[in-house]
Amino acid sequence: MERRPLILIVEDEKEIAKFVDLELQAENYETVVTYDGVTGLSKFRELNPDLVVLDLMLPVLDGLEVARRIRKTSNTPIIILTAKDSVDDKVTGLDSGADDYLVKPFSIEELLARVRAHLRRVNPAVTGEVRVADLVMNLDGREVFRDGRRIELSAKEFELLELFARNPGKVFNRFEIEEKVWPEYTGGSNVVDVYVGYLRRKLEGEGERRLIHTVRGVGYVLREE
Amino acid sequence: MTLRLRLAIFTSAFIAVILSAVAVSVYLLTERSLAVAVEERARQALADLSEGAIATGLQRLPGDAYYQIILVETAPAVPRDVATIRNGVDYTQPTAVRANPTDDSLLGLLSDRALEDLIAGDDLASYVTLRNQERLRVLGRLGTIAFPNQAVALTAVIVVGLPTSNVQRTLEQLAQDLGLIVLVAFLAFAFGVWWLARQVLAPLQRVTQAASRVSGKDLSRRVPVPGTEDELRALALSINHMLDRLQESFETQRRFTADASHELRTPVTAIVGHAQYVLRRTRPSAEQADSLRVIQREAERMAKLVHDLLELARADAGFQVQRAPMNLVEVLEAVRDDLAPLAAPAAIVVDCARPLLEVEGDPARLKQVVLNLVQNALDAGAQRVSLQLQRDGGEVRLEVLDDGPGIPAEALPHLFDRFFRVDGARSTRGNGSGLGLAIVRWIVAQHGGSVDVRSRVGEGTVFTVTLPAYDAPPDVT
Repeated sequence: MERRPLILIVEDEKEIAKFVDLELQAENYETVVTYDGVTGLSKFRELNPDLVVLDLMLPVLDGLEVARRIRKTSNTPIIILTAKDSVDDKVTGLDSGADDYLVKPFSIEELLARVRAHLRRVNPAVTGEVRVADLVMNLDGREVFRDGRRIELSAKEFELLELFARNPGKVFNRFEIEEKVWPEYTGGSNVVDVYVGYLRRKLEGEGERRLIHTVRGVGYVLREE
Repeated sequence: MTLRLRLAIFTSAFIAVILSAVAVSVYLLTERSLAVAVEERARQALADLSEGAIATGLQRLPGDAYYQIILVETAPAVPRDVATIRNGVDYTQPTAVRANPTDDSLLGLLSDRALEDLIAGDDLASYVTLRNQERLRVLGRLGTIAFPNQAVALTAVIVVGLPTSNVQRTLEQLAQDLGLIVLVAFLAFAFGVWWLARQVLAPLQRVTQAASRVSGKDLSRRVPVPGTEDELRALALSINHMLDRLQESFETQRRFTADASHELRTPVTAIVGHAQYVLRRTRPSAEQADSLRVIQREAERMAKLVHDLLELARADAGFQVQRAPMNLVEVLEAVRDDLAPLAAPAAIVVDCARPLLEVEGDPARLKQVVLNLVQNALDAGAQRVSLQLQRDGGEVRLEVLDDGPGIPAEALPHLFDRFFRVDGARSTRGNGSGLGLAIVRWIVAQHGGSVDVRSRVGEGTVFTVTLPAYDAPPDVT
């Protein structure tokens, strides 16, 4: 029998830890729950789980510090839960080594979807996924990662990127793209150029190499160069 | 009108009155003393001519004096009538005649009434104007002329005239000089007052400017306190004291809202999570499931309220949204796609001719704006919500039209107030927190736009959001 993924939950609010635990068990994951940062970190070292669900405000050792220490020795996905949702908090959370960030109150479906996505990322055998270079598109969860970094895309941005990612190396002209992604509008706008610009801005946000290239006089292509 | 202007105008007007009064007094006094001087000289000349020998009198006559001696009776007697005087013999000796370019007879210019004084035994006193326009003060007297080597004494009318033109010229000059002096003094004074008022009011203005820079967004600023021990210092100090207390209570309230929202999130998350768990993972009876759904729905409503409160606490704290170029059309489509399944049978329609209308904005927050507006329309009972988006010059205009019951005119001005509800009661109809439109207004303002509402009861409501359009610079790649 295949080993069930092990998920470590570090959350000091017992009622929240409880239902997250119940839901993850119901999804057939193995779980370990701890209620403070120090215990969480020692459990992590002892058990080497497949994924960590980590609360940000923890007694003794706070979540950011736990994430930083885990990241020193391991690439295990970390999903942070928090009651803070300002942009600064989000950036700090992700900088500390977390892979994802959910703000309370979160919907449990969302948490489960993220857990699935991150486990799939470390376990590439799973289908429903497109990979080009360091770009990973999870088509079911409609999620995009670049080098492990989760990238938020709008619906049209995702559709456009999916069109490129499913056909790496194929050059699309603007008309083709418009017909596929914006079928409800007649042509004549620069919507394709603008959206390629949006995608580049997001995909290259951390100074990554360019993936979507302009083919002068023709259109655009996604390829690794 | 500013205090400075008022001060300057009133003080200047006051000083103008004083200066004018002084000038007029000086003029009148001078005029009088000059008139007295002429009178004195004329009296002296008349006395010289009428008392003692004529020849001596003539020698002592001032150079600018006119005179005339008319013999009227051959014996010392009072003439009977004016005609007697007028018919008298002009005794004025040719050698003694003064330069009289007009050759006018003073007697001929005097009126009958003036001459009657002589008959009554009084001195004559009058003014005459010569043909060359020279004005004379004329005094006359009935006198006796004795000729030293004859034994006769004749009655004569002796008339002396002294020009007043000099007086006139002096007065004109004086009026001119006085006018000039008054004007210069007035201007100097007005300017001085204007300058002085500025000096006095400048600290006040600094206080005012500093006070106006203090706003709800930035209560940390303080008014500069002048170093002088005066009323302005007291004013600045009391304004600052007031600001301290204002900031303190504002801070307390804001922190309370933020803390309360944070603290509420955890229990709300636990409630929703557990309700969902029981609903999804166990097999509750139909009644239990209903009850659990109520728990879940109400907890979610509370979560939204907490979210909205926190959002407004952020707004009050002066939080700025992060903006980047984005497509507003997609935001509308996303809202339609999110809400349409829940809204059925009500319809949500996106009406935009183009696939792309860019603004510089925060996509999540602009989506919140559209969500709130559409959700409000649906909550009010609209069957069709239409989202119309168009470019209008440098602006993008979004209209959210519904066919709901409409909003009474008296409610419209308060629509964007926090916790305001159209039906007055704290009704539980819909999921609204009562904060949705306040948030809409804040987000739109953060994007440099404006939001407006028009409504007609029984017909529907239109919310219009106007945002500055974004025009991408021409692509170089």
